[in-house]
Amino acid sequence: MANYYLETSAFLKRYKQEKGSNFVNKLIEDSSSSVFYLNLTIAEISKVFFRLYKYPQDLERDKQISKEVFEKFQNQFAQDLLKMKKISLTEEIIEKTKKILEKGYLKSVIDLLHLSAFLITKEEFSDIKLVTSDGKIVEIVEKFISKSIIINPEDYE
Amino acid sequence: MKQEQKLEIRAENTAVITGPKQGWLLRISGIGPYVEPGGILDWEKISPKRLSWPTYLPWEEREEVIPLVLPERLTNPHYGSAELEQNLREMAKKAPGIHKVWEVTKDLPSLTKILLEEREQE
Repeated sequence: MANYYLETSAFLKRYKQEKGSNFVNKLIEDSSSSVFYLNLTIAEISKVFFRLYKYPQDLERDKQISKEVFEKFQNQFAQDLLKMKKISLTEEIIEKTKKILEKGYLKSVIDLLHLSAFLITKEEFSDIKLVTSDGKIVEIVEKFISKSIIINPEDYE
Repeated sequence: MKQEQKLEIRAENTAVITGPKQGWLLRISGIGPYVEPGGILDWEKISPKRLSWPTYLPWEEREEVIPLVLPERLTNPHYGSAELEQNLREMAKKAPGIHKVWEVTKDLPSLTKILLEEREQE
């Protein structure tokens, strides 16, 4: 049984068909794999849905979605989460961010927390792989782990 | 020549008292045998030269010190997880299926790109 840590940037490919979506869909639907996510992801993905529903950004050319579509997103997302393994943001994760920062700088605190959560999860599940489409995370994580356990789903299309 | 010595008495709940060795009259209670009947403090018998005695404040002037205990919702990372789980289960019942979601997101920008932009602006 394979273990994967699905970081938010890759997770979002589940909800729109684009480069990398097939890989993410297979992960979520394959019951023989364990897919882990950090609870912070719930807020991150909900924020993207809310942005499209209530706060479309003109400069970014967002397309506003209806309440009905918004609810479809939320409901599908909820169903997906229930199939996955939730990791809680702990104080150990927060403390470990300092060790990451000693080796490299990540501008986004959320990126830092994801990377920290992944590295701690890896201490418990040594075979776990990181699935991410965030180039900044990849750049730093390579300082801690082998490239072979980092998966960018966009490379699988 | 005998040098005049300055002594200091530090007492709890009072200000510091300083002065020459001779002539101090302390109208304090609770020092017991170190105070001569005339109220003159015998310095030679006090060592170290630090005195303390209880000070009783009227009840209404006391500040009640209650230790601050943070509520569980501020300290337990799992607080609220039952409610979150319940909400997810309720929403999941109405999940449309991923193909329906793809139909409606066909014309939307990449959600991954939106997220990465948001992180960039963090």
